[in-house]
Amino acid sequence: MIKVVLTANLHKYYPEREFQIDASSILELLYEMDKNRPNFSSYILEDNLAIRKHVNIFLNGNLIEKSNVKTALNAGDTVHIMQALSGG
Amino acid sequence: MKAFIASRKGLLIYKPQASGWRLEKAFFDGVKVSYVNYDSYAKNVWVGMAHGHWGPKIHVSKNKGKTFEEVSTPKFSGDADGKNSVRDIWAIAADKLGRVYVGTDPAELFYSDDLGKTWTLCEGLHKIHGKDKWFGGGADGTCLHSILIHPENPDHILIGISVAGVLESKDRGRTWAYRNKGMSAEFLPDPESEIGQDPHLIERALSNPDVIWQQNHCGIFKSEDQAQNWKDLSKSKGLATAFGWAIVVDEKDEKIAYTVPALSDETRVPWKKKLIVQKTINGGKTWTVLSSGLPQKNCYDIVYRHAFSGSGSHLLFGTTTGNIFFSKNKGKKWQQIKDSLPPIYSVKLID
Repeated sequence: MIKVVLTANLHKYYPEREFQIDASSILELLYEMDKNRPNFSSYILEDNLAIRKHVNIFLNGNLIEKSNVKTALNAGDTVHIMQALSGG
Repeated sequence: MKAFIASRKGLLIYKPQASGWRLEKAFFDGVKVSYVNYDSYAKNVWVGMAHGHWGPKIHVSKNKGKTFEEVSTPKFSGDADGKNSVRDIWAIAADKLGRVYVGTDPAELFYSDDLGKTWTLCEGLHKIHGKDKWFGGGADGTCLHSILIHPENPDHILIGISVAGVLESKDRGRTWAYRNKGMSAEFLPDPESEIGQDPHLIERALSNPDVIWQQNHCGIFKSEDQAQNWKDLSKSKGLATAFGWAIVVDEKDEKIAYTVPALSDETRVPWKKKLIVQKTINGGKTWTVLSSGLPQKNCYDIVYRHAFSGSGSHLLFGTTTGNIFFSKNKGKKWQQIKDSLPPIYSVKLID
């Protein structure tokens, strides 16, 4: 199982903020989340599956590149989905 | 009657009462709500928005604004070049058969036959020739801001795109042709170019569906043959200025139209720093400037293309500086009904 932690601002659009989910990649994890809350992956991904400009995903504390949404996950990993702050 | 106000910080719904206009509901706090429109066939209110972090979204209300539900978002599929991703929602319209169309930034048209559960890209428009001549207008990219479906013939659709022009489909969106004959684009080497015109908004006269009015970047135009030919009205007597974004056509009289102009594309401030409405009652031959009740000095209110709405003798517009003005007598007198709101992108009066 993968531990997922959402930023507080995303909790408005998803029923849980911290939860466990079974997935073998970040993309699969987001699609699993769509089953609990339709359209949720569109909050995170552009149409071409890049991570949105103002969204950051961390795997075990390390920032994932925008184009690497297919990064593999292993049991026990922790994924944080956060807002990206852009100065100001 | 209710006024739906799409603003930089959410959707506001006002209702007139004896004591003035009261805020009935506010939705989507903090979210840029780009567009609101009403499907008079199914009685649904549609809103498009673009979250700062989470991208574009569409919501629909099936009870005139008591509640909203999110539907899916149109998106490009199988496009791996990284260029095509829907950034914002610029127009939503429905036909009498229940099909809903969405115009986006970048300028594309999607449709749904299941009230937004799924969306299909209009491939004919996506692949139309001449796209290399389109460029940004209204935003950094292209935007499809106007969708006019013929009230009796849903196969016939006109759309407006900045900066590409007006396009027509006679087969419910399968194939498209440019319809820019008579327009002029002073920002192009060839002002009469078939492609690259900049309609800011096109509006159909419901009393005569053949008549289409247009506020263009380069003036005010009108067609009496469903966009096959356009006539430039920009030199008509009485016009203070022909530049602007918004245009409203009277529901019962094709010859009556209103614009809320700005001085010019260079400055984009109100004409002489005065907020004015321009009205014609004779099809655009002559115009009258209306200003009673509107600020007439040191004014910076600009009215975006979707931020002007009419219903019967009622007119209402919202401005970039967060003011709402209302007229109950076809523009003769105006009343400022709200101020200190966020910048306003789109309004809709719904009876």
